[in-house]
Amino acid sequence: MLLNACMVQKKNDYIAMKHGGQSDDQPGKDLLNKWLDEVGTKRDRESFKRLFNHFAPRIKSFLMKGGTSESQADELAQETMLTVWDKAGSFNAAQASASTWIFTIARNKRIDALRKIKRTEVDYEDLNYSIEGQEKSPLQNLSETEETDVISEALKSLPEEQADLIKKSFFEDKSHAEIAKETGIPLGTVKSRIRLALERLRTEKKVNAL
Amino acid sequence: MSKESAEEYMKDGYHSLLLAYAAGILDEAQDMIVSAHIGLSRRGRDYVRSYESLGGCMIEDYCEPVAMSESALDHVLACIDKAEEVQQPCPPKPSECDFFEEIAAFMPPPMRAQIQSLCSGQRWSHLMPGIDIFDLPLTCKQSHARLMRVKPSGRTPHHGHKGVEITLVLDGAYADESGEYTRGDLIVADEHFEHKPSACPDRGCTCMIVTTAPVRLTGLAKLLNPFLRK
Repeated sequence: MLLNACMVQKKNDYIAMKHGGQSDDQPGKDLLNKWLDEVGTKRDRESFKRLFNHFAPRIKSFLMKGGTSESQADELAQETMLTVWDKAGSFNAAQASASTWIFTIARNKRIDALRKIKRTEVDYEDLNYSIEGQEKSPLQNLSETEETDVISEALKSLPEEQADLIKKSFFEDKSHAEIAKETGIPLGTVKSRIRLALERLRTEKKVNAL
Repeated sequence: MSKESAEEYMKDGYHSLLLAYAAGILDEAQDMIVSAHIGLSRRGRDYVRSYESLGGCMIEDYCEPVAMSESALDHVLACIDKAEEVQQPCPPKPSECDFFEEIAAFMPPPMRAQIQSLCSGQRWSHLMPGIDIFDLPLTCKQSHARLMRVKPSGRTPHHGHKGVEITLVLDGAYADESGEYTRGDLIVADEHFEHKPSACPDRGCTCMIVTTAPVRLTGLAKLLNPFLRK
């Protein structure tokens, strides 16, 4: 892997920032977007280090919840941040918030790690082709950053059984059939609860978009 | 099953599938068909984007930070330095063939490269009168992906499903007991759903179909089962 190759690299000049026990305030969504934007447009390393300190430990946590070992989760979180550096130029806060954008990169790293053959990443936003005869849906009135806020609030207001299934879908690398088996809830019920939860999230979004 | 409950079932299956796509837990074949769907359907793409923003919330709100290894940031910065010195050469482009050109015309442009590598040296094979198929050579074990081309007004045998059958209409249209579907539509049918699809009279229908278990034929068509088993 690329990172292993880097480990034998000459000691670099960068002084490590302090790890662990960070007590700085949680940066808000706008600040995270701004840092990521600065990495993309100015190749700003200080902003990158801040992003790293915020996101890498969370990505690691996300991967470990899915059953990835600590050492592999550490390595995949590093690879995710490396890709964040490489692709930051294509980040657009109007399309996705920094946390959503970085989540999709971490998710793709996890998929690649589980598969033998590399997944072809398809970036639909990157390409200027149009889908014939289709209007932008009314659900997309919100900017994506606002959307993340709204969804985040809506998720907290879901009934526990629905929120649990949504979290399980993200954290545990399990199909809905496996979730059904594990929880003893019939598959049809798992799917309909998921749909109800998603419908509710979308309704909140629409209300907030008006 | 009534038309209404069939629609509910399919809606559940559809959103459950798109959420699983956003979460990154689908196998290769299912992942590919949803990718192709969101390349053809703006609505599908909007749903997936909403579900991905759920993932962003998960990272922010539900993942207690776990300290990275001490040298992690140094390693990443060293890799950045190294990558900036060496520019990666572009991989050589595989040569194109007529079959690929035909298939690629149906697919969303961002998927051309992926399809190209799957189509090289392949062609349609004949399944039964009016129906040609092409099995996509994927490596995943759980699911199977194929393209199916049905001539105008052609009908596929009446069948049910042991697992999940996901269909993406790429060209033309088809209709069954639950409705009519055109280019870009993604239909998720599970074991509770039996249908007898027929292709549209003027253009026929070309679809991508992903199955997670052998399709179960009903009625006389049962005799054909061995040919559809994969």
